[in-house]
Amino acid sequence: MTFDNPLTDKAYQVGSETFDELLAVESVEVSYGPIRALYGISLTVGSGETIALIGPNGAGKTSLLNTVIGMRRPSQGRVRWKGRDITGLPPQQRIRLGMALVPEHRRILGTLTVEENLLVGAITLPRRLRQTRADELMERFDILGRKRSQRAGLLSGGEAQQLAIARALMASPDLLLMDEPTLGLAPLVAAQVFELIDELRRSGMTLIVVEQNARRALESADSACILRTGQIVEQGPAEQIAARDDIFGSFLGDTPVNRHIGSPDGRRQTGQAPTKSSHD
Amino acid sequence: MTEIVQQLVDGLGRGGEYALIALGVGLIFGVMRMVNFAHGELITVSAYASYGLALTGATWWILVPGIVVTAILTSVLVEFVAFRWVRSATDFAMLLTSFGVHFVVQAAFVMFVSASSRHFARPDWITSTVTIGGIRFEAIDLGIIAATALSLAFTVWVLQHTVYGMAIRAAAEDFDTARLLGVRSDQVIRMAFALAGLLAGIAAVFFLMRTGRAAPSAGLIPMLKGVLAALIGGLGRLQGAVIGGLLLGLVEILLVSRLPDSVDGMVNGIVFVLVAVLFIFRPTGILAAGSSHRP
Repeated sequence: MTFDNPLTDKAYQVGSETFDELLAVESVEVSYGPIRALYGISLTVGSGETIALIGPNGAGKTSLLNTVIGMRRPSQGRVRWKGRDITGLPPQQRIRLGMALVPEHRRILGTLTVEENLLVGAITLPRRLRQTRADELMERFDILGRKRSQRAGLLSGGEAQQLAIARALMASPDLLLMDEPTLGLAPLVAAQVFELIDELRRSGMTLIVVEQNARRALESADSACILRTGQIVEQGPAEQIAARDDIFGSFLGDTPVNRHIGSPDGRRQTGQAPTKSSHD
Repeated sequence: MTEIVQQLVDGLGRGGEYALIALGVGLIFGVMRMVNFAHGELITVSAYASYGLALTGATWWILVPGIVVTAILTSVLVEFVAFRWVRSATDFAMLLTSFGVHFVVQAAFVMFVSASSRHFARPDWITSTVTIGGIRFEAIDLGIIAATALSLAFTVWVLQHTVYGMAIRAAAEDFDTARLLGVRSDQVIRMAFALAGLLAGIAAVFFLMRTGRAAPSAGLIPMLKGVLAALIGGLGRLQGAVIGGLLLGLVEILLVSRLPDSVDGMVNGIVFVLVAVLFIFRPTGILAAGSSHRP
């Protein structure tokens, strides 16, 4: 099967203006009460591009994805989708515009069956297409097909991750956001998830992937953004970033600096200015 | 033996009514995390609607659909006017809002109709009995049991086999995830209120057939029993609401029939003590409630 997303170079017309990028995040600031999570982040994503978003825990990666999908409203800045300002739109409307998120910790609906999870993921599709699309994806992810009537809460970690991805693909999104898709998975299963990411990428889908496994994520990406304490500190083609040992040493390696920034859920941030964030 | 079967049917009839109300309370709790203390108002408003219709000479053939439609519309209207504004508020704010709706509706009927109750004719067959296998049953009990079974089957069908029913269950489990999949909060909440209204309307039909009375506080006792049944079963667990309702009905009938007449008035008190004892052993009800996120 295909994932229905031809690589396009089209520009988006909004009023008299023309926009080249699929998604543009412009000077976005996000706070959780008094705690600042993102400091003026700007990022553009072209159609068909795969971006790896990497950085230590608490760098603001999840906050950025949540801002793109609409779960977080930025206090400043805006988000454009195909040129249109969507900053104020709730997630359920952004889904209808062609975005989808594979959330952190998968967030499978455990009391629903595997098939029901997929069908809810197709709620934005016309009624007659829902079952067809679910059948297509259960064929592609055969383990889901075999367990279609089983309660999704009983799936193993790897199966649940496949379900989370398949569910996000139900509405054939233009942009797929993936938050830590290999978190907690056995290495072999994680490798399968990366293969799937490669497959989606080859099909022309636009992807933003947040990953702890930075080296492997870079292999599957066109470009990369490195976040640290709520700011983008490096940005560029994935191969170039991968070749930069200094980045791996200072931001992503096992140096103590990267370990305890913010809380482990990656959401909280200290209120300090990012340049002074030597927490250890 | 005959007596036990009669009591069982009697208990299921009463419990069926509670189950219908409890299921509505559970559906609304599922999508809003709010115990709706205004749920009984659907019965109150329906009671006055039947009184109004009966004044025009309408028969029960008109009253029955009239009651059900009134309950559905009232449920959706109350959500639109009152509850939608407090969706993201604290549990306490939502609880207060539901009490507020309860008192406003009650006060409105006292002010604009009367504080005293209004009566309308009950259906002729209400006291009739049916004999099956040598055992006599009250026709209305059999009617309630049949209607409850049908309503439950319909509710299960909606929740299991329509994508919007699945969305209600998804929202009840994890509202944020449901929204991330494109589920519209407005839509699922409105659907849950409509479904809860339908179930309350069916319960109201039998309640009003029995009482033939519209009063400002008509819905209070059914609401309390419904909430109690939902708590017994485990708030947010829909099967639990049904089990809780039936159990409550059976226990009440058992107590009424076994206790001496002199302590009849204490039935409610004894029921509450039994429920309190149940909560000591199962604090979250018979079926434990699931966790969830609010819209």
